[in-house]
Amino acid sequence: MAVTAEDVLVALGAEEPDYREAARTLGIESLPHLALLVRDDDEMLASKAASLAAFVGGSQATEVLVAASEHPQLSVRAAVAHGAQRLDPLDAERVLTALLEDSEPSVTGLAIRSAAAVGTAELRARLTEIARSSKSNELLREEARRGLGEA
Amino acid sequence: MAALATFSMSPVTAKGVVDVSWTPNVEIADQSSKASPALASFGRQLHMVHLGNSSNNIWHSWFDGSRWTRNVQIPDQSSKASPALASFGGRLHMVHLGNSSNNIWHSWFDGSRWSANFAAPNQLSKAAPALAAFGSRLHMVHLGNSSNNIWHSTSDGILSTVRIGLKTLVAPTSFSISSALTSMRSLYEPLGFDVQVVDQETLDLPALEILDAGECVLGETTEEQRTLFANRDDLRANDIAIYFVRSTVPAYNGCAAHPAGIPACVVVAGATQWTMAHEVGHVLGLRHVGDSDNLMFRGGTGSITNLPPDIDLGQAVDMGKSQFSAE
Repeated sequence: MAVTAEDVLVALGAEEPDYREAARTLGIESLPHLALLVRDDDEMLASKAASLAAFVGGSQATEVLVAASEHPQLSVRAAVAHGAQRLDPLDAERVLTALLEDSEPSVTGLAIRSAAAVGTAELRARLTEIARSSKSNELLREEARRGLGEA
Repeated sequence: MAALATFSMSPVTAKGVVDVSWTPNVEIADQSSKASPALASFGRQLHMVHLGNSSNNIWHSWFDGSRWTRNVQIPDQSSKASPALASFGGRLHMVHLGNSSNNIWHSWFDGSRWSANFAAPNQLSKAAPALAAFGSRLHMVHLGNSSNNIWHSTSDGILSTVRIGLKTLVAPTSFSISSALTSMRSLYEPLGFDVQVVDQETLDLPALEILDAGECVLGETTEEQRTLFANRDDLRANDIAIYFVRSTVPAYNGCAAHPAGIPACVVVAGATQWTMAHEVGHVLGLRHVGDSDNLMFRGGTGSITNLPPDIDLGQAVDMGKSQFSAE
């Protein structure tokens, strides 16, 4: 049976959504709905949609997360930055590249941790840049050094 | 003696017994009890509780001045002896023995529903207790567990206390902490839980404002949750710490997963005014339910059909058993 928008909203309406279970039951058919929801002005709904997309995974979910990474609310971008580590490495790179330069240090910090967890050569190179750059704030440089195993 | 004979405030029979005037007694329809009923005035009604005709279930009805309501069984409450009633503090209080034990149980009626009953600690009686309001306290007398000695104790009428600490990293945006507290009290207090704020502070912990809450599973916590929950300040071991954060990753309205022995939960800025009551409900042992009118509805507090949400008596009993609520 096709997954409806209502199915997705019910899963995300929970106080503590069970993302693992929702991804298992709703699967990739939820992604067209999530693609709309991550653009929603309701930051809780958009954040939850991004979190669920990360649990669903795959290339279509990556597109959803790329879109969500441009949401004006930082909690949505934070959900993306954290969730990206669940993606395949190359997909994670696509999502994290922009977020490693996010204007909010809290989002960048989460992106650094995810980048370290994914650990592709490209992402490690970006972490090295952040760790060495005098433009980065000290906390982020330290987070990047930790991600590189230097701290 | 002549003066006495001519001064008659009350009729006196030939035998010298005061003959107080009673109306003829009228049977209350469809109500029977195997033991003595109890009676107390509460609000504008006269309330009666009594046992069943052949069971220990406790039934409740009231008289509005002209007629009795149909009696209704009080859920999850039974007694092997007559209950006792007293009106105190805007509530109708009842004490009664256990269904098969000499423990004394206490519950109240707020005008619309009964609270869960709570055992009066270390108090036992081999026969029905008696209850009355006097001064600013509720007074109870009862026999000993196995003796005929009479014992006396008093109560402030509060059945159980939930002590909470409110710790703000980021102030909520979609509700205020005071409205969440008012909402929580509106659900907890009618069931007998006095919600006390014993600590309130702002925490400067920017690294934890967006909190990694893992998969928010009971008994499983992340390093960030453990770091945050270590900030208890002066809270006692059984006080529940509630941390207001910007958001969690993954995104939750709140999360009540906490390390054993450190009762705590988080509530995010974009949650609902009922999320705090929901998360504290988890800390007190409540699980999700399918009833869309219930505070613990698995579909979330934003999807509750009829607000305010319900907490049923079975849930209240479970909350009362929690080590994090205290009589």
